[in-house]
Order: sequence, then structure tokens, then C-alpha cells
Amino acid sequence: MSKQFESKKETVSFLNKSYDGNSPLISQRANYENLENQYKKLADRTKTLEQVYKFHKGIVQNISAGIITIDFNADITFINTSALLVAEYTFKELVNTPLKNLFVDKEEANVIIDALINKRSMFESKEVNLQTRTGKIIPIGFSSTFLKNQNSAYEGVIISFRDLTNLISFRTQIERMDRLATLGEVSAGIAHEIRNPLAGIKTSAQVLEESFGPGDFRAELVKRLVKEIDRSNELLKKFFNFARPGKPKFDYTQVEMLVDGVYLLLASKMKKKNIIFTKIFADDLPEVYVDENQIEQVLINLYMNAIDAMHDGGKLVVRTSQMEQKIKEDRQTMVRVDIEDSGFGIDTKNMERIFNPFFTTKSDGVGLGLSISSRLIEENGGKMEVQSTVGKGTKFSLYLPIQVK
Amino acid sequence: MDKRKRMLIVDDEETLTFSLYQSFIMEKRDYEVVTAATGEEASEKIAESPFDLVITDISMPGMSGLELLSKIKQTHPLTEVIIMTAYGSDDKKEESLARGARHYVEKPFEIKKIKQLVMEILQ
Repeated sequence: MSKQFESKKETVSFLNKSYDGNSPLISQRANYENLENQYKKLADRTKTLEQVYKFHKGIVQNISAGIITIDFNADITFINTSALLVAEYTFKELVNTPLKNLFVDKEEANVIIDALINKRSMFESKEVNLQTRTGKIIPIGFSSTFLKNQNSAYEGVIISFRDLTNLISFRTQIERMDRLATLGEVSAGIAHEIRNPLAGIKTSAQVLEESFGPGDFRAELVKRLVKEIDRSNELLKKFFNFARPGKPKFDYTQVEMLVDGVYLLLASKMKKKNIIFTKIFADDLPEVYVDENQIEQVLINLYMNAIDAMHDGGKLVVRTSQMEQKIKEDRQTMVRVDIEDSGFGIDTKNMERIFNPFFTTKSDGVGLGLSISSRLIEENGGKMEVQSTVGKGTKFSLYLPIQVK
Repeated sequence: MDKRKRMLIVDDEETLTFSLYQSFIMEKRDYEVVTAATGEEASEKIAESPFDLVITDISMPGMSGLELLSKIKQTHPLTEVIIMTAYGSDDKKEESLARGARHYVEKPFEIKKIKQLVMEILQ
């Protein structure tokens, strides 16, 4: 009986101990709960960190600016997606390679890198040219800041940049327009001043001609004089066309009709030179709102240039389409007309000059066709672009408005 | 008896006024030809005695041909005006016709054309 009692007493005592927290079983359980809490906290913090990481990564990768970081050896340590898209490389191909490789002008690269790393200078909107994997030259504008580690010690440089291709093309277009407008005013002034005395000379010559009897050789001389005056006047008239094309008489018109009409005018010329004319018209193209005579004049100029650029025959393709375009800060739907030839192309060094009045590579050209055309397109609220590859051909693209502004 | 028809040629370009004058004189037709070098001079001559026809340039020092045209149309609505100009744009043409000009001629012109227009107006 007492043995039985003793045994029960032990059991009770064990159980009591088990409940007072000092027992191994209880402390194990507490530890477990503690660990679980810590784990939960850790998991939460990891999750938050992950969110913060994803957030920052998202910003760095999705931002439209290109971002490159370099170390103090000027080797690339990081490059974001936008930068990779511009450079046409993959991350692995560029990381740990010298930044200098991306510059077109290596001398300039040396100066810039020296300034960034040795002189600790910062750049703001500095314009340089970048060379892509495929050899394209992309103008960029970059700014730099220093990359610091946790202890605020310099670790390298952050370079952020923007592709300036569109901006520069817009800027050149504006400059071109300004230049043409100024030149236009000047040439109009000169043309007016020359035409006045020319009128006096011509009238005098014609009065003189009347005073000679028929068959008089002097009458013949005066006739030639008048002919030369008329020739000079024709040139001056072209000046006026360029300077003051006359206000466009806007109306709705089908661009297909203009394309066809000009083709009919020049069809025999094309046939003679073995040029195959193809037109590709988009379906449901809206009517354009332009001065049809002026646009016709532009098309004649462009067709003629194309014909002159194809000595041994070739192809002239005119294609129409519809697209969104930015005209003077305004986005609008426009009709695009591409006039593409398979001629000898335009030399890169002449590319910017082709719109300058009196610039010509033709032995019998005056050099006003493209400058007048570009001015007419501008007056009609449109825009003109050109792409050319020497030996392959040239494509002019006209963007024409479809609605009243 | 019909009064002799009168024509006034206005231009600061003396070679032109002189040659036009000679040309009309040579025709030996029965009308009087007078010249003026400025719009102001023309106004004075018109005030002295009216003309049947005035041929005027637009761009002149002082009063322009278009101003002269408006003035003539106010004071002598029966006087016909031919505008001649070395400008190459149609803007001036519309303005000239709107202000009452009978014809608009671009310089340099064919003498025959001017004579034909003059003949139509004076005969």
C-alpha cells in the first residue's frame, strides 16, 4: 500500500514540476514558439526587403534612361535594360568590360573617363556619340554622379544617359527651317531688287527692237538680249518660289490621285530610262488636307530626282500609309507617302546639305528642288524625311496632314 | 470734241518709266503720256489734272503703289489702274485687285502685253 502511495506521489511531483516551467519539456515548447516568432519576423522582413529590392530593380530596369555604373578602373559593373537596348549588347557581354569601348571617339572617351575617375568631376547633359554592337552611332546626353558604399566611400561612378537621336533630328529640322526661312527672306529681297532693273532693261530692249526694221541684224541682237533677260528672270522666279511659296490653298484631296497624276506626267521619261514604277496604296487612306498643286510640285521634284539617280534603269516605288506623327510638339494622324528609288544614293557628307538652296550634284541643276519642296511641305503642315544608302537607293518620306488644324 | 486721253506711268525705276514713255510716244497715238518717280509726285499730278489710266509700281520710296491705288479710287473712281511689280507672290495680286486695280502685271513684262492692256482701257 505504501509502495503504491510512493509511486503516485512521484507521479504527482513530476507532473507538478512539468507545469512550473523549469522542466525540459516546457522550455522546449517555449523555445519553439520563440523560434517560430523569429522566423515569422524574418520571413516578413525578407518579404519587405524583396519588395523593396523588386521596386528598386523595377525602377532601374524600366526607367527610360540608360544607367551604367563603373568602378575606378572604368570597367562596367552594372548596365540596365534601357542602356543594353541602345547599345545592342547583353548584360554578360558588357559587364567587366571597359566603358571606353562604347564610345565612338576613343580620345574623347579618355578625357571624359580621366575627368570622372581621376579628377572626380561630374557631368551634366554632356553630349557624346555611342557606338552600338552593329556599328550604329547613337548620340546620347549623359549625366554622372558618384556611387558610394555603406560607409560613404566612393566606389565608382553612376552614368545615366538618354538617346538623343529623335531630339537631334527634331533640332536639325528646326535649324533647317530657320535657316531656310532666313535664306528665303534674303533671296526674295535680292530677287525683287534684281527684277526691277531687269524690267527696265527688258522694256528698253524691246522698245529698241521695235525701232529697227525687220531683217536688221541689230534687231536680232536685241532679241537675244531679251531672251537672256527672260532666262535670268526664270531663275529669279524660282527664288521666289523658294522664298514665298504662296499661301497654300488648302482642300481635301486624295493623295493617290496626286501620286498617279505625277506618274502620268513623267511616265514616258521613266520608260525611256527603263524605270519600273510601282505603287502600293494602303486601304482606307483618309484624304489629305493640303494644297494639291504644291504637293504635286513636291512629288514632281522627288520623282525627277529619283529618275536622275537611276542611270541604268531601276525601281521607283511609291507607298502610302497612315500613322501617328509628331509635328511641332503635336501628335497627329498623318498620311505618309514614301518615294523610294534604287538609285546611287546620297553621300553621308551631303545628307544635311541637300536641303540647302543652290546645293546640287547635278551638272545641269540649279539646286532649288529639295529646298523648295521641303519648304512647301512645311507650309502645308507636313514634314519631310530622307534615308539613303550609297549604292542602294534613297527614300523620301512625306507626312501630310489629314485634318484642319 | 473728245478730250485727249491721259496716261500716267509711276515708278522709281527711271529706266523703266523712260522706256515705257518712249514706247508709247513712238506709237504716235492720240494720248498724252506723263511719268512720275514717286507716289507723292503722282498724287500731285493727278490733283492737277485727272488721268484715264495710271500704271504704277508697288514698291517705291514713300507712298507705295497700293496706297496710291487706294487714294486714286477714293478721289477719282473712274481712273483705271494697272499695278506692276517685281514681287513674285500672288498675295499682292489679290490685294491689288481687291483695292480696285484693273490689271496686275509681273515685272519684267512683255511690252506687247502692256500695250494691249493700255489699248483696251484707252480706246
